[in-house]
Amino acid sequence: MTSIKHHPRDDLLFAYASGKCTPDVNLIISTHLHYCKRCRDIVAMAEEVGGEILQNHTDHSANTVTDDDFEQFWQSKIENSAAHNHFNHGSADHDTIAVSKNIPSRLNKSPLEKHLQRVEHKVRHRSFFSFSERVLPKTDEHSRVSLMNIKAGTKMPSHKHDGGCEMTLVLSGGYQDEFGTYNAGDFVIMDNKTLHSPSVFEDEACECLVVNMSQLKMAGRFGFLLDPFFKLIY
Amino acid sequence: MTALRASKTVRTTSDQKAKDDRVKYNELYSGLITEIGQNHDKDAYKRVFKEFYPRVKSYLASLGIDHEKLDDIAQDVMTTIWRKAHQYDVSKAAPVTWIFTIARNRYIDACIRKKNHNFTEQDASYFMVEFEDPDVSYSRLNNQEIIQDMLKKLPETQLELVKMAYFKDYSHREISEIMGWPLGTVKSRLRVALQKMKKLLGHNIL
Repeated sequence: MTSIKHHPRDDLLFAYASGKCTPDVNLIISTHLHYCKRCRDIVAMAEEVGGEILQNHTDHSANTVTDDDFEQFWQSKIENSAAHNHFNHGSADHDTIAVSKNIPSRLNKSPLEKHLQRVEHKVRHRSFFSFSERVLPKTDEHSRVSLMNIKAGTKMPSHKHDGGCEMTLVLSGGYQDEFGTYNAGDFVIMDNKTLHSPSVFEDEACECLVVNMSQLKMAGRFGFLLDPFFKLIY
Repeated sequence: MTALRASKTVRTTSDQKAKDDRVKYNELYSGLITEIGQNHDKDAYKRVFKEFYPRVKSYLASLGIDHEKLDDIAQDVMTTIWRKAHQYDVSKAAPVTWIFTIARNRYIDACIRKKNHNFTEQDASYFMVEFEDPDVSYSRLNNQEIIQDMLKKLPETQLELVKMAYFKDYSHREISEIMGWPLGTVKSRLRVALQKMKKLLGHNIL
């Protein structure tokens, strides 16, 4: 098993853990977490910091709950609603659907697998000479998510990502470019200025989850990613 | 010298007491959540509700949730606690951390619905990982006091910066305006603050 060398930066992991990322970014980060114990620990730590901050929200003099408040809530939201008997026991949706739609088996039960199962009928398939692509339905007008399968030994011409930035997570196989070698679980961000020419390993096709974010989005909430240091993460 | 030693002992004792209290607090609420999960116990739920509803509401307000939606979302967090209590695992998270992740997920849902009316998924936060991680070999319950210690040692400006960027409703640009720092400085200081947090935690957690 190869060890993961390329991780999302800490500020991105904190943004994920605190709920500040868009769904597409959440999807690629959570899929990386399936591969990476190191980043799971950082996210767990960030969640614990969040817990502590929640714990210290004690300035709630106006929000004290009386017995009557609770009774009212109980009757309207729990006792007389579906919630009363509705406990999310097990994961029924998992048992009834055939697993892994052509994604690596280690991603069983990952958010990516669940997502693919939900949106399967909306996935667009595109095939080209050296690669095929499954484009997932949009959750956000400024980003695009796809699963790419690139044939073994493919050498891609030098290019940059004019639209904005591109996040790539290697799911299986791997590739190399001017900046490094990327194996299953590695997470890479490329900005819109950097040229690179990736070559897929000779012996195995490379499967990647790719999120493209447009320039507009970059200038907004995710502007923090655009700086001279983010070309290569770690 | 004797006085110094005495004062040190006093401080250590009060620190120790605060830690013991926190351990008891965590045990109490993790026990109550377990009770809800196993026996659907209304009294246990009432105690959890009274303790955490005001905190959840106050936290969501600081994230910029609209006033008219605040009650709905905070109540949604509380009903989720009722429905998912049986999934709570004391070895993976302190009660407040578990509740934080539920509040965070409801916050994500609320943001998505607000920004994108075409979003058709019922639950946008399903992209978030809920771990059943067999690797976790230590009790996350005790981590909470380590985190508490770390946050106390973190310089105040760094703590405030982390809170503003991640646990309140500010963009990096807004932070830059409020603090009077260039945008690049906000980013680099934030990164330094996160490094400092990791350093303070040392091998305790990471």
